[in-house]
Amino acid sequence: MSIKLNRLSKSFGPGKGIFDLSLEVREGEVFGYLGPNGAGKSTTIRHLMGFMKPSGGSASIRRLDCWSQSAEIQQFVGYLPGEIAFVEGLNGSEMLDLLGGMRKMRSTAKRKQLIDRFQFDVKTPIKKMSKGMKQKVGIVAAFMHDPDILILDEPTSGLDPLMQSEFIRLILEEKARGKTIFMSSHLFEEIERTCDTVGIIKDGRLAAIENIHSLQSSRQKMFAITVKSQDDVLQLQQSGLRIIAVQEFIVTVEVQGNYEALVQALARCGIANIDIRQQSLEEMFMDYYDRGMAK
Amino acid sequence: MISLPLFKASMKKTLKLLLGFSLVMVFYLLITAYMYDPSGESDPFSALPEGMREALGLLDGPQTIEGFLSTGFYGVTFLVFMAIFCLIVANQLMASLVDRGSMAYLLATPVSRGRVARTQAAVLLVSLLVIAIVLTAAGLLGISQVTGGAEVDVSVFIQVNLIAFLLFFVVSGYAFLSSSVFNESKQAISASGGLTLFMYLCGIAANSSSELSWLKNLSLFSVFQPMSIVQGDTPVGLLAAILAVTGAALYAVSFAAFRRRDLPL
Repeated sequence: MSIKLNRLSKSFGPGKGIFDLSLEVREGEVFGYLGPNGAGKSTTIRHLMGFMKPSGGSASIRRLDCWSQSAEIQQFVGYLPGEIAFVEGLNGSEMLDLLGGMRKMRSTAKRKQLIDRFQFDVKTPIKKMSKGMKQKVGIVAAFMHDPDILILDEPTSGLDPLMQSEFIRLILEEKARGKTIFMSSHLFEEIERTCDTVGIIKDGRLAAIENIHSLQSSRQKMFAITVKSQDDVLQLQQSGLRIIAVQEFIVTVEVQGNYEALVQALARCGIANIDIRQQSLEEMFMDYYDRGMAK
Repeated sequence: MISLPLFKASMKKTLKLLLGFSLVMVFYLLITAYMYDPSGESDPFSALPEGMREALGLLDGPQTIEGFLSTGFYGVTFLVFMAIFCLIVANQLMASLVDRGSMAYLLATPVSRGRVARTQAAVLLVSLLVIAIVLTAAGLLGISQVTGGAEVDVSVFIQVNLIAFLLFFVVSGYAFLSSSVFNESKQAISASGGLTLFMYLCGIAANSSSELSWLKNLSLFSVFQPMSIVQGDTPVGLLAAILAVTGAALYAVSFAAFRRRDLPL
């Protein structure tokens, strides 16, 4: 077992903190840690990094305790903090030199390769860096020593869409090389392309641990379909799809996994436009739970 | 024991302040020495009102160059500059890194918390040592030049500087402790700066009135009486040992506290 939380708890006053978190991440697994802002994602990660001492339970990485043996753990872990703050007065390259030096790294091959890949000028003073650029330096710092385990706190925040895709490609490559990745996010889209398993945290408690595919299929999507005639509206209404609203020629359909039925119904209509609105994480979560109760 | 790459990076960051403070203090030392008049007739502080001279501890009229510098330089200017240097540097070596969040990167390497703290402490101590050596050297080499040949008693001058260095070993110790236990720079500097100011003011109050003289027991700075070292009334060896042990204890407590506490990174 690569990463293990055993009833991990940390209290910051009544109702605040994380409570009784238990989960396991296998070697080679990509684990997405999903939850709204303030749910306790970063607090969990701070325990994995040994920045905080649990008030109850424990966190371990490869059987080493995250609090008492954190320095040993860092040998094979790469970490990307949620907030990027470098040492004042250094530029990107000096910062990477410092961290590489503290790791006693001899090879800079991977570092060069990452810098080329994310295309930024490492000589820029940190004060003059944009948020995205700092994020890139942070990514290089997390990956440059080719760690077996990666702990990434909201890794794509601040990156433009092009670089986000580049980052996802990087994650997929590392995954293919057998790396274990623990990655937090408040956006489902960010992790659905990379993760095997998703843990959902809400108000400091682990609400669900699910295979990504079952979560994906449970996620509802709203299709706002603009049809061309009144006949088409009738056609859709009789098709057995869940119609949420009809507003002149705009029919809003809720779809959950049954995409084929939707396509078949649409094939019989004249279509002027289709808009897709995804359920937010919160809505998806509520929905997931409502159905869980119903079962 | 320490991480050399971190030591170099932190030293580099401290270097500007170190150079600036060293230069200013050497300048003040030599300017003060320049005002020395062996005849003792032109005491530059005689213009100050009697009460103020007492409060600042300038009562003993200057006789020798060492005595003159004790009141004119080591009594006030030196203390103020060194205290400010300790507070600023101690703060930026620990609390500021935690406050800004950059400590997260340092601790995400296999360098342990204890080692990070020891490295940063080494930067502070080496800086203090550099200032002490530069000042002592500048004094020994420069004073006879600017005074037109006053003989500096090497042994006495080194004793004054040794106790001065050890005094600030203790000051930097509590400044470093404060920097190690607080999450925000503001809190760290308020605590260590507040304590320093409090002790300094107690010292001044104790000097200004015999009824308040008990206040000197509340001030660490009371142990540094350069005039008394010059006159041979201070047991220098014993005082040096006590200061060294106190400073070392403060640093040891800082390391232990930093290893054990939660960090908001």
